[in-house]
Amino acid sequence: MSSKVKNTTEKTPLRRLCAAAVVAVFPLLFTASVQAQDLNEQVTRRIEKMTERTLLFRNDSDRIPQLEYLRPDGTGVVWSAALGDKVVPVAWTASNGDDGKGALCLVFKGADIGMARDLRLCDGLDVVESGIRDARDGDPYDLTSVTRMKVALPQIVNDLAEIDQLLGRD
Amino acid sequence: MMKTVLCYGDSLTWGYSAETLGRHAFEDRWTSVLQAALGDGVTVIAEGLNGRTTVYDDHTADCDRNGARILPTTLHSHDPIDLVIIMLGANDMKPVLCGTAFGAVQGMERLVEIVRKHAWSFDTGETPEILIVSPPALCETANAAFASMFSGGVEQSSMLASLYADLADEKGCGFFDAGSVAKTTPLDGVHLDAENTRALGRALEPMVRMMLGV
Repeated sequence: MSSKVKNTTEKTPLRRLCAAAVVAVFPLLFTASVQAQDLNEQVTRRIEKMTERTLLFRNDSDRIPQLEYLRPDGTGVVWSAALGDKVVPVAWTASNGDDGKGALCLVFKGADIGMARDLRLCDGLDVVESGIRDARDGDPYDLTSVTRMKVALPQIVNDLAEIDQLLGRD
Repeated sequence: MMKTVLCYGDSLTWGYSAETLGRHAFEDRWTSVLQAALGDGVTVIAEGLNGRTTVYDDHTADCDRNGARILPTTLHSHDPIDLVIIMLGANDMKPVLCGTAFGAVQGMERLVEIVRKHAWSFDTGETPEILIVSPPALCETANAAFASMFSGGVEQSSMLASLYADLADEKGCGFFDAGSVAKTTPLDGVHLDAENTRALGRALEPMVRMMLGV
């Protein structure tokens, strides 16, 4: 997969930690204002719905969940079943994509995820939205203030109520 | 593009069954379960050898069990490789060979160096990613031969996961604690029954997908 967004807006079978393109360098973070200048109105609205919220995302095979919290400033955190109990920082960028429907890229530092190289994952917003199983405003699990959760994220999670139960918050 | 995963291990990867004293059915081995989970776009190569150590010689064995000595040849055999999963260290717990978790960590570090510095046949400019898997801790067993062969191994092997995790962080490798999803059988204190070896294959899927980008 190319690291360029324009080549990643097609529907891919898997995304995020499960559909990766590896890049050699960790790119500079884009500020929200810079991104907003480039994004069309539709994409801007779709992206806004993904920020400052905790999203439960699962890939198309429906096996590998991850929780994401994206800040408007282009940073965020991810708690993935691929990484057990680790919560890792991520940088994100958005673009209009070739089809004008938008694309989202997440970039992980290799050192944070046990890889020699950094990891850049991009998908069209249609794919991203179709993978969102549940969402809640804000950061109810304090993902932004920890580096490890008290438990590993299981491979099967269907909604955030299960996370509540897992963390003893129900 | 097809991705290739090399699973470099010992009898836990070969699929030794303490119950039958033979080999687990192909579909029960963790490498086979992982292959099935990843699908056709990935080739999982099961390179398990009974008795293999990280870097230690076993002069009582009928063939070379020293993982460091065989690894370069194996890397060439399966080149190009996208990911090397190394699950070794259980046999290092034999006091006659090594006997300490610290020794196993030193051995694992050497294996990581071998992969990183290997003279790859095809210059793609990228070496494979490495996933270190700590074998499940040994457990107490009434099997006198194994209890003697691995004397002290229960305590030493219980330290492997945390030490391997530190090594993985230091070396920029992925890490997975097999003991978090699989337990050794008390039949011999070392090996996995069919259910536990299947569980390991299922549990590795997410991290392997991440590291392969599939």
